Amino acid sequence: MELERAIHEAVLEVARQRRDDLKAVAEDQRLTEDLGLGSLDLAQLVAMLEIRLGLDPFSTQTSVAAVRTVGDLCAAYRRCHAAPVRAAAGGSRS
Amino acid sequence: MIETVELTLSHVGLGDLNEFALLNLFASLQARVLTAGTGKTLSEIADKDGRGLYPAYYRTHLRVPANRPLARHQLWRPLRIGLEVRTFGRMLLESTCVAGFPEEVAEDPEQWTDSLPILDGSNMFIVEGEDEEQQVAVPAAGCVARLPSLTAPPESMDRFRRVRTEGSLDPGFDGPLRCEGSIPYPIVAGRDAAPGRNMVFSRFVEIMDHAEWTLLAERVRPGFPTALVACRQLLERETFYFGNCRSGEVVEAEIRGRLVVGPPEFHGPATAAISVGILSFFLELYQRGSNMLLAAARVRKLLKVPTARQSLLRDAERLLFQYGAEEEAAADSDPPSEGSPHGARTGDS
Repeated sequence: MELERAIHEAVLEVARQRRDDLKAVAEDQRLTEDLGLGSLDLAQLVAMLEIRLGLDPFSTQTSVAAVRTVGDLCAAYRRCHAAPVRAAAGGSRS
Repeated sequence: MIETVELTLSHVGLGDLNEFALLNLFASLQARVLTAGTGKTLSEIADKDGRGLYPAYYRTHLRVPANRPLARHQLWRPLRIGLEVRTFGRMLLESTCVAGFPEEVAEDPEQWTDSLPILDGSNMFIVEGEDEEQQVAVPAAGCVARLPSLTAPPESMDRFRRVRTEGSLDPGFDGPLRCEGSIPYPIVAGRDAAPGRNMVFSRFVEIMDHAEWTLLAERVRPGFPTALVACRQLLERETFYFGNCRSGEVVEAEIRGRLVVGPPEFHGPATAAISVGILSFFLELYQRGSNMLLAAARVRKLLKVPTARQSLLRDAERLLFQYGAEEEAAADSDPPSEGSPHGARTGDS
């Protein structure tokens, strides 16, 4: 649940940059069509989650393009959490 | 990474360093930084499924001090380029590049200042060949060098979103240098783009310069003497990139600008030239037919006239009287003070 909450918060934070009236996000909402996230927004969302969760599901396990909904995103991070691929690309991180 | 290159014919033709060449040198060095130690080249970066990726530019911002024009760097002379690339996550890059004579560029990026030409670039990794909707992807492990990381989103992202929504860097701008209709630029195979490929991002500079030239020399009435149009010297260009074109297509440039009286200042040995004003432009580039917004930019250029060309100076005075304003609005300039450190870099680790 912690993981899901962190992901929902991050999605909401990024989506609010385009729709500031958004109060919450739901598992079945589509990131692009329903929440209006563009390429740069998705890149930002993944970067934020990598920093906050220390997980990187997209370099070996899942394609960003395969993630359509908030639920897909949660599932990708759940799988990664179970068989962790720690974020490795960045250098020093504070 | 620091590199010293000799400026050759392939960089600058028979001329001096220009914006197009500097952008290409920057991108080439960035490619080496991204793949350093990986055993790969930029064209071998792929995602986990083997799809080719490339770091698409979504913003560049070049600032050139008035007393350090790019043209000071001449053919067959060494140019030193320093580049620092940082990542935000694994798909976003923020780069800072500085250029100067070999003795001027310090090894330590913290010492780079805008007393030299300095260029910031923002990229995101995009899947090759996805022209309709850009698709971001994470490079597979081992494809990209380990680079310093940012812990907060770069400011360029917010600006990108705002410009994308508003369609311009200053939608309310109302300068007197404007024309009816857009200025077309046909994309020619070989000259502007390789057959079947998008234009390289630096080509947008040429399109914008063409629009500027056409506006001043051919569209505004009274027009600027062409010899005076040639006296422009780049101070700053900030460009946001939203799309691209291929050969056979046409770019339509919307441009408007103003001329602002600047403090007279001599340049070069024995007061060889004098600056008479600053030209500011806002441009939006569209793809003809689809009307897709391809790029939006703001540009500032110094109008610097050789003191030996007294007739041109009279023309400059006349045009300042006809088009000029007394002072430049802060909104479209806002340059950092000369000599300030380059890093307004929140979240650097």
